[in-house]
Amino acid sequence: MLFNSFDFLIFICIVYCIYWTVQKYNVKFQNIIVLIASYIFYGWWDWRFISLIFFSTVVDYYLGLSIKRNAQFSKTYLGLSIVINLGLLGVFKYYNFFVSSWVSAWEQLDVSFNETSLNLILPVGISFYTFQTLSYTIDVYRDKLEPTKDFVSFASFVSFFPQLVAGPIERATNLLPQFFEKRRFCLNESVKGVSQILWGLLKKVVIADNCAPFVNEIFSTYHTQSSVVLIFGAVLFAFQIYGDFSGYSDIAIGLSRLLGFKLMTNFRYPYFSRDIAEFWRRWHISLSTWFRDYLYIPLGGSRGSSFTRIRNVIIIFLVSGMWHGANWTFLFWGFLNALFILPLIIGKSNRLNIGIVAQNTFLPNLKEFIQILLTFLLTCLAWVFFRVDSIHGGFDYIHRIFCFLEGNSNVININIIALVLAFVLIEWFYRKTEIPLFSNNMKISFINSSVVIVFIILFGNLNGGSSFIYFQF
Amino acid sequence: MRKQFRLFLGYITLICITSVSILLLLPDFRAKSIYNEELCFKVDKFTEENDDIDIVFIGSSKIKHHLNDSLFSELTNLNAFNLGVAATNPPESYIFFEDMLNNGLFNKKVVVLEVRAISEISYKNWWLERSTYWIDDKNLYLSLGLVDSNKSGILRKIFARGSYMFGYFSNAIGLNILRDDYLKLPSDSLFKAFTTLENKVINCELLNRLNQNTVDVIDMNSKVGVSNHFDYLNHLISQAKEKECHLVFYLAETNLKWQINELQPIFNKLPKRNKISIIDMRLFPFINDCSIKHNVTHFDSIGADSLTFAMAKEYLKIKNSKLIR
Repeated sequence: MLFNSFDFLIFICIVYCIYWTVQKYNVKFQNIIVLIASYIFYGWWDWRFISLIFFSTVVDYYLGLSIKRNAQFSKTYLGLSIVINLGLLGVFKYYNFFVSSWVSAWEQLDVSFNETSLNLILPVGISFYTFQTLSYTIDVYRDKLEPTKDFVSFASFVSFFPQLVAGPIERATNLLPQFFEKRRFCLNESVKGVSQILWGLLKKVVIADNCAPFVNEIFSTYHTQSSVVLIFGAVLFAFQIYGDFSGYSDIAIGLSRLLGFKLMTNFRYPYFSRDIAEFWRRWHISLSTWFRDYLYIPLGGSRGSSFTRIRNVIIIFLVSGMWHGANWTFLFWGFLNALFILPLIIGKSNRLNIGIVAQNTFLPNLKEFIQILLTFLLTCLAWVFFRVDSIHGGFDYIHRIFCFLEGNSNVININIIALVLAFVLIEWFYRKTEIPLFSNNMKISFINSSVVIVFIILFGNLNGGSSFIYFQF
Repeated sequence: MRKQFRLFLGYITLICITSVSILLLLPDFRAKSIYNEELCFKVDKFTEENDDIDIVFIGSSKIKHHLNDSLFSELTNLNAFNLGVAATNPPESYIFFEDMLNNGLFNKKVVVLEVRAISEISYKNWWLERSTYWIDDKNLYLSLGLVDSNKSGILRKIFARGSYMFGYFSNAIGLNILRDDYLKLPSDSLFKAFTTLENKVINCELLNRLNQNTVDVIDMNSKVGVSNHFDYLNHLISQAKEKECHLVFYLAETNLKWQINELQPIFNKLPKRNKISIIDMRLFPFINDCSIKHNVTHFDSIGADSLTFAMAKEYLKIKNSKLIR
């Protein structure tokens, strides 16, 4: 069920009404409604997926309790949880990739194998909820969280439908306790939620979905396009993926607000970053911090020798690339980002830009502007590898940009440029706020929300409701 | 808390009302790049190859999907071109034909034009029926054309705008999926009138003119009303004659009795040299053969080839009897 579909509109209206009707009883009813709604939401794609998420829930529920009860075996239970969760992820997401890579590697040496690939469909959002449940068992093991005996709350936490299929990847320490407390309706939070949902929808259908046809056209025919068109395609893809993914996150967070939950911020205007380190503190924050807390720091983090630091950074980015998909292009994309960030880590200047850019002025100074531009160009360069089908294709695409090829530039469309520029301007104007166009003054929020709806209808690419890019991860 | 909740519901309702009101008040609320991609593409191609083409087929999906132009060319030694576009209504086909004729694109050619029952389009609000049944953006645009037309009364304007809004929202929220999946109605994904900021640059001049003419015709519905459908077809024949174009009307296969009842008398009156009928199941038994049908309305490729054979045979009959010069 897509957020930008008619099915979902009906679904959320029904769930919302029932949810706030039962709130007068107790928190258990609310959780049961959330759980049922989440399983319906997830089963809408394919009912067989439900068994998988249920299995994952049961396993982590019991392992969480076991870690606490049997302290001497806690490590074993944690290991079991990691193996089972990552095992599921490995089978469904990476098995075919590893087998085909293994076979083709041997084929280079003229040794042939029979390739046994599994005919598996990748369950939507498996990477997201697997990491979420893992955070629970790890936090229980680290004594950061008491294991819960309330199965319904735990199952609701694992399958919480607003963020189930594409995040934000919530920590058990943040989200799980919210299921134990009765959610009370708050007008301000609800208005905020509506503003955030509409802003997310605008990013998705107006920005991402309007960029998509150009990006698809340019990337599928890149070998015939001029350098200018290739740059145009790479830049548009940067906005497409941002609009798509951060749009989803905004809708998810906004929906959660409507149900009385507070989720973590997942994007903080990443394209206004002044260096790559800052970009990664602003892009897909829930994943970056997950890797930081559960992988980077346990590996030693930024402590130790330069070699250890470099190794840790490379590992983190390679794993992050791999998390995105079973393809060498994602791995290379991760590696490229590691290369971009390494000079900052080695020079210990990765935390130079912490605050908001141009904090006290409207416009950035020249230095900041150049920094933002360079960082954006670097990310665009990396995004090319994220979008192409093969690493060779990525190099070819970039090579063609620097060959200054001339040719037909018909595909460059002034409307989409104007739209993206307008979007950047709005984001810049609201860069100090959590949700653009939201104001504590209800009248202003009301006007902004109405205008956003008009914009979505006038300029949104509403044909059929296209899927979100990050669902495939 | 209950008060806050009610306030919030009021807030949401007010946002919806305000947005819809803004949209209704916008004088030019319509898609920015309106075109029928399929039609424009075909017309461009046809214009390009115009000199080499001998015979053109115009009509709805029953031309588009059922007439295999390369097979027809092979069978008749004529260069055929299929200009059929799914979900095209009779007035649109006729106006399209006139428009192309007036632009000299059908000179010295044979044009086969599909004739369909007019009464299926309830005239007073055919644009409403079309826009809700087909969720057809192109016709929604036409309904908006009615709003702009000086000939439309205030009620008609309100109705037209309402139908436009309904169709637009149905399309936007994916009612077309419901339509395809649950009602099993034929899909016409090629109509993308509301896809703003489209990638391809297509000359829409022809379509805009066509749309405007269609709006005019709707306002003068007596021109193609059921009662004078025959007169109008005759009028088209004489117009074609002036441009040295030979017009052949084509009665497509159908199982719907009311369509046959409406069309058969009109068709019987037409001159022999100007008609091809594939409606009689006794003469064309393949029509009833379920095995060659793709769905209730359309044939599969084998069915289309059978129909093309029949069509070629019927055409050659006219040609060989020297009815076509």
